[in-house]
Amino acid sequence: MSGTEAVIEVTGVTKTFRSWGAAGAWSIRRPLRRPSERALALDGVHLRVARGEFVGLLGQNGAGKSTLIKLMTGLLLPDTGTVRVCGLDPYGDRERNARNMGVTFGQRTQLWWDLPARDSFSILRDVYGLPERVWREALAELDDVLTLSAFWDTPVRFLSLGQRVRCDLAAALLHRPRVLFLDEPTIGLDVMVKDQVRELLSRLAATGDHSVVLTTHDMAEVEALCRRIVVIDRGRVVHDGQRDRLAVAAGAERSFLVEFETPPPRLDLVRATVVSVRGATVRVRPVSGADRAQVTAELLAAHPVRSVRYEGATAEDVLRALHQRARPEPASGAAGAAT
Amino acid sequence: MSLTGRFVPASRRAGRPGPLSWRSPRAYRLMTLVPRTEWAYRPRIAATAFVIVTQVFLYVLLWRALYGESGETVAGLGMSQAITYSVLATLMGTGRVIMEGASQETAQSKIRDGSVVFWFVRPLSARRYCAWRGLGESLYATAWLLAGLAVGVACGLVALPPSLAAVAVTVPAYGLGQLVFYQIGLLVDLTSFWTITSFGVNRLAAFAQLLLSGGLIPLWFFPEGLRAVAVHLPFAATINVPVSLYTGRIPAGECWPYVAEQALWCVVLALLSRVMWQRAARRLLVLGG
Repeated sequence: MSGTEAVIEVTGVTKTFRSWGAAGAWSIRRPLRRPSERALALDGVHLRVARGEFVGLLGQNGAGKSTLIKLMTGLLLPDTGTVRVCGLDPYGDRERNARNMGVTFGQRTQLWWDLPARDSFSILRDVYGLPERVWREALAELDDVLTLSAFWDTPVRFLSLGQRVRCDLAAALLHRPRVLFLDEPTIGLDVMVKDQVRELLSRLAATGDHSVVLTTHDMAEVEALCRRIVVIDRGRVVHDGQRDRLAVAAGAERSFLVEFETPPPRLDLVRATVVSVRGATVRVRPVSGADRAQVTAELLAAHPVRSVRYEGATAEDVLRALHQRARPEPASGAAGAAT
Repeated sequence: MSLTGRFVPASRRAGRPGPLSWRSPRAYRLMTLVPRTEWAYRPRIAATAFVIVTQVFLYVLLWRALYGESGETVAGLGMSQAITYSVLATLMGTGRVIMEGASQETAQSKIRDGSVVFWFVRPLSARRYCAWRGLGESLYATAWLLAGLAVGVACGLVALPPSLAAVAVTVPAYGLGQLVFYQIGLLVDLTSFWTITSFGVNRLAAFAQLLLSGGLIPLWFFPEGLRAVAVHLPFAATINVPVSLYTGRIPAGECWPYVAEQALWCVVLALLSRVMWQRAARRLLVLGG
């Protein structure tokens, strides 16, 4: 999977936006002197993404995900802190940085609306200065996964949403960027197109060369693609770690529902505590640090078992738990947490 | 064929130069954008031709009615010159697809759907992108002018320039006029970064362009006060100066103050648009999440 070379480094980034309050309708100060205040969008964010990493950037609407993406793509300048992508300042060195990155923004399209999609690809070839052969190879590979050739001669304005999103994803990948920022790439897509997009993304992840930052509200997508998950809430990183550790970090409940052959005698378990007993059905919760295999082995040894069902929290449950915390404390992981 | 193991970044492909040393973008091909777009909407080309023919026909009727059989010169223009002026002015105002709002390619339209961000995540600055595209738009407009000129001369509606010297000064004046044309359209479009919709500004600018460029009627027919101001505005540089040089209303030997003023406007508007581009890039935050 990933190497250790940092491709994206966000260090202590804070970003505020100025917003203007309403002035009285007849105020002579209006509109030049309306009161303004600064809203905090990102608060001391650290993030380090290594080469080949596939990171899911999660959070509620307005949590700061898109602001972070815009900072990393050079569209915004942080108030404090630094952002480096492939060693470059994405805002100050916007054009050089653009060669290293591909980006999609939800349903916004970078294709030329009046022209066939393939014309958009050829315009991008010229914008990026891609050699003809490299461009053709990339297009053929993308067509192979996304089946673009069936509709790429159709003007973009006539494409369905699914077709257009596939073309947009191809447009973001044509120049084989080292870093890919995908802001809700599958929003509004049907399940078949989602599968195609996921297939492409998982293949990209498998190469180990592309660093991908994906924001999405689709938890199935997160579970299918992202090994590492960063959760942002109210502008702060509240979790940064492997997907499997997310449930632990959020304190989400995991339990085992065990059906024994007969009602068990008193259970004395080391790696789990009994939550409830109802006849032969017992619910136990693993103690901190105990893994699934150890608890299962102990249960099997304790009394004849008919079935064991592991009830883990879904990513969605975990996120809900994280967001419902009154004021989450930042995680203190090595790979990046709020300060 | 699988992407796995093959779809590696360009910078890591053996024997291929890293991304920072890639050859310069072949951005000049963006000049084809406007003609390609127009070709995609072929009925629009037919509609443009129809409008030109109708407009020219009406101008011919108008000037013939106004001049009558007298053959007099009015405000320094004879009837033949007036008709030539109007045909050329009509043709020069044609083909500015982006300024006319016929394209989805305007900053205004891109700001409204949020896709303007893509102008700022490419290895070609938005300013250069629009400049190449604008150059293509000017060449497209020039194609209309040349085609119309050929037909007009063949039909006897358009008189040839009075001298070779007039041709020699008309060509650069036309080029400078196109530059000013582009800059005015750009500045109006860039106001969308602040106003979100520049419909009002567009409408005002289109009216000013039509009236003050001499595109509707030659500036010499204006009341003196208005004429004195209008000839020094950038709009006059787009149509009034090159067409006046072509028709001989401004003698070739006296062209330099006019051409210099055109060049000055080019520089002033280019500097202004540069500043606006810089500020526009900072305004991207209005696009929201």
